[in-house]
Amino acid sequence: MSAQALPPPTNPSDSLYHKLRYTPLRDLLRGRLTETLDLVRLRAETELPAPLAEIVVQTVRKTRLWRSERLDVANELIAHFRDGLASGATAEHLLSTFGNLDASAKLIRRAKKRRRSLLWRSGIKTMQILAGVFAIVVAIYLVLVAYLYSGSVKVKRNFASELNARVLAIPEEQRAWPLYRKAYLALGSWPTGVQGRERPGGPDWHQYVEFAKENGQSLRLYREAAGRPHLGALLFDPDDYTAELKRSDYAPPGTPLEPPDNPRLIGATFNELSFLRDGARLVAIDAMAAVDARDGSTVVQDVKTILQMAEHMAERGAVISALFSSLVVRRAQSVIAYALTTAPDSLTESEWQCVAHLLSRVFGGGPFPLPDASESRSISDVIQRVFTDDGQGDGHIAPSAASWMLDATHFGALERPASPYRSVQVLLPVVSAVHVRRQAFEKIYKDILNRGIQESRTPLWLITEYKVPIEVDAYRSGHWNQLRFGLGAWLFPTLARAGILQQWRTQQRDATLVAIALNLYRKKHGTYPSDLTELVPKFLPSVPPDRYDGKPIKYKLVSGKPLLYSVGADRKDDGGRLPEGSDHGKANRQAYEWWPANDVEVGLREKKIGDGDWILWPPVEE
Amino acid sequence: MRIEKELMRGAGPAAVLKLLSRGEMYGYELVEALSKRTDGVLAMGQSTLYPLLYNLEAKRLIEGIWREADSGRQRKYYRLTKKGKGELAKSAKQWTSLVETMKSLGVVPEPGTAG
Repeated sequence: MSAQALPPPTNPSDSLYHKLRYTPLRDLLRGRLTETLDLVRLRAETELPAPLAEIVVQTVRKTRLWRSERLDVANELIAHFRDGLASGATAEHLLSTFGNLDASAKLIRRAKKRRRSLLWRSGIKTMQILAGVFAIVVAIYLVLVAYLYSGSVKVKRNFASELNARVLAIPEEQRAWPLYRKAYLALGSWPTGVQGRERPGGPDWHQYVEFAKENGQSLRLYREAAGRPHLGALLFDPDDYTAELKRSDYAPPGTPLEPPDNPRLIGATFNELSFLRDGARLVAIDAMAAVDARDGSTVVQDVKTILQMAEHMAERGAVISALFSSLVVRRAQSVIAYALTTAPDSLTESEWQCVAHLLSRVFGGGPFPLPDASESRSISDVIQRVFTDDGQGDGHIAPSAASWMLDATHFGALERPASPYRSVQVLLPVVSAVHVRRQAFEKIYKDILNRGIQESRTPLWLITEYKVPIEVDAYRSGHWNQLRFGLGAWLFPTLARAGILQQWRTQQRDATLVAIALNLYRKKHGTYPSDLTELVPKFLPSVPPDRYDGKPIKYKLVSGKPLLYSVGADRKDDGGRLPEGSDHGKANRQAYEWWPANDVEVGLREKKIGDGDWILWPPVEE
Repeated sequence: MRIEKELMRGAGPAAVLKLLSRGEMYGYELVEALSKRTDGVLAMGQSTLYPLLYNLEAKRLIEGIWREADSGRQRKYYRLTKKGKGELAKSAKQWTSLVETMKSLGVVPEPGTAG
């Protein structure tokens, strides 16, 4: 095809798009493509001298107004110049009197915009305000980000290493932990699909007895370990991460085989709790089988083993250790109760004295253990990782706090969900600015811990209300407090419930000791005493207190059998009567459920506590 | 004599309103009238006049109407609105008061006195 045969090049102004673009809407609606908004076309058609036409187009362009507004201004300026030329003025004169083009465009734009609709102007104003607010928020946020990233975290202390140093100072032959680990690994799988509790007389009791026999090696190791003076468990012990342990489902998935150099103390596992709980269960089965076999010496040996295990469990001094260890003591008590109620003569007098001696001496003979100030070690470790350190003992929440806060939310979850992590990170600059600073946080924490320990150790009969938990609740409630004490919300300890639990268990331990003393008295005198004071001092050093009224534990003979009880939560002596209810276990629990002294009436009315006494002996199955 | 920009900003609108009080006028006519009737004192180019007109229009003191002139060309004629008349009256009072004050201060000489 020759060049001459080519069609003429398309002028952009001929395109439909161009026509549509420069035609006012009202003309389009009438079906006309007028292109009256096209300034270039207008300039071409204006018949003005080129310099004047150019100044019109330049001015109008610089106004940056809407097309219809520009057209209006252009038409008026064209009309102006035409009038000027018609009146005899020259183009040069009109140009010279026009004035400053930029200033004119600016003033025209400003004036024309004032004529736009109220709705449009309000919209623009609103957007400007929103943009301004957004800019301020962004600016503040950036300042907060700068604050968040100012300073640095300095992990100065290795608490795990410090604690392990104490363990390593114990001679290896005095450490029970390696043997416990072996015992646990030697223990087979517990019987499954069995009915009833693992108590003699239960439908599948023989299976448990068989299980204990089959696990004689494990039992021997547990006994040997319990005989050692110290638990001696290292934190983050590499031996705990062996493949063998992983196979036993002990180590959770994702647990590293080698512990980090300076691990978070709060992440330390309490291996001994599960290892020893299972061990105590095994030994208790053996002990009850020994009661059935009238093998008093084995019973004594097993009770001793269980109580030593309990003391080992409590060695770390944490709340959870204390609570688990007292549960293990209860297991020893259940063996004693079984022997006293089914075969009191299966143990000799001296064996019973030995059992009483062992039970009374557990945890030093006082109330069951509660955490002490050493509990704060793991929190001090958290603080040194979560707050910056300015060298003066103060600092603010650091970026690393995001992961800690998330751990608090998803405690125990090994895989951190990505989405909440990001949202926590986004909010962290705000949290960092609002959250109490390091020194203030430490002060509040220590105050709450110390007062909480003190409160939890106060005998129940002297407590009318636990104040520290109410305070901690206040720190955790309300959006402002949650921001200011976000970290504290889960770090501030509430020890009241632990205190109550331990006092209940102390009361049950005391009752078991009285029951042994009564048995010894009966053995000697052929009958039970009419009053507990008759047991003192030969069979009992003193009559233990009723933890709900501070007076001696209550005692009476019913059908010739001893009944020991406490006045219970209603603080009223009902003569050893259980609260009403067909389920004796539930009724007994309701009898001792602690309520503030001032709220007892409400608790009784709402049936949260039972109207009756807490039966301590004979044991009530719960 | 050209007057200061700030003073012009106050005097310009009043002058335009006054010119339009006598009847409708178009842009170039206003430029010419301002120049001739004020001996060039309030003369203003298009770059000043049209923003001023658009401002008065935005305040609804004047209104502009496109109309075909005798020459056959389209022109935009401006006329005073009712609101504009009120504004002119108010403005006139203010200027009278200002002139009187200036006279009393001697800034504006009294008629018959040597300035």
